[in-house]
Amino acid sequence: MKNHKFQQIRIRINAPGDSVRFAAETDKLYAKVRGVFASVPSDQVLVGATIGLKINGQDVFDDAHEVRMISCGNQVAPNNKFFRFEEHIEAGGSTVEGRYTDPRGTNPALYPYDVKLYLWLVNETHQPEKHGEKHSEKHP
Amino acid sequence: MTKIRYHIIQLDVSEYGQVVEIRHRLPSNYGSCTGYVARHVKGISSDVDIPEIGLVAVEFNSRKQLYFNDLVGYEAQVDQLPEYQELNIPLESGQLVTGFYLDTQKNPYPLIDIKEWFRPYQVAIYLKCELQNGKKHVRSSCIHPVAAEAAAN
Repeated sequence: MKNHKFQQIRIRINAPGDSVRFAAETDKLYAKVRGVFASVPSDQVLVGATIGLKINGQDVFDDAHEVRMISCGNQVAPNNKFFRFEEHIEAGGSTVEGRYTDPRGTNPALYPYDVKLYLWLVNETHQPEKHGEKHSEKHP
Repeated sequence: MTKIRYHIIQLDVSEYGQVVEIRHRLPSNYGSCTGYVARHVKGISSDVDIPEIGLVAVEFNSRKQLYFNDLVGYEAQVDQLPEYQELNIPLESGQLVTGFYLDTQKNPYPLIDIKEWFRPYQVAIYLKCELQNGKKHVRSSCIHPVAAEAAAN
């Protein structure tokens, strides 16, 4: 069986200032959530957008957490795009719930749009990792 | 149970050159602070990066530890993931995080009045904190005087 999966959660934002609750369930075949990455169609909607996240009932991010803290540009290598969790976050069918809040005052022509939240699911055992650690550094 | 909490201190800057006081109480179950990021959230708009829009100074444990001074910049484009700077500060329960943020923006249009050019903006300081292990809240009246004396010695 594969050891990695990138599970996508889509959140539809219809109008400026929308605050949308979302809920999903992680794939049962994977043990751990290693990281998270948020993708939005334009940098303009990223400024001031916030996301709250709970996995398996445990607080991961408060509602005021900026989406920018878990997203980056296209020029970043795929393995380094994810915000990596330093502690063990249980997957295996855990509920993922949260709230995405769109910033007000952005360009109305951008709406509606989808936010894609990617969860990096893995099956390996827990190893504490430092945020920003490069994939190549671990496997020279 | 997750042990890491990302605590956010939001600061609103409404005037040119303003000093914004930081006076914030962290939850008492936080045991240590292991990282921070200070960044512009919203308000400023520019086509190019601005390396410095302000300075931030933060003290922990009710001014007992002056821990970091940092520049806050503005990024015009989304680039790398923001990285937490490392800290290792044991937190005393119920103590304050204090300090200030100073707006140091330079007027890019010297012929235009500052009031027309300046826009209010928001800065956030993210503190990565770890919860204390096995923290139990015990009322002081419940502590036996002999045990308290032994602990003091």
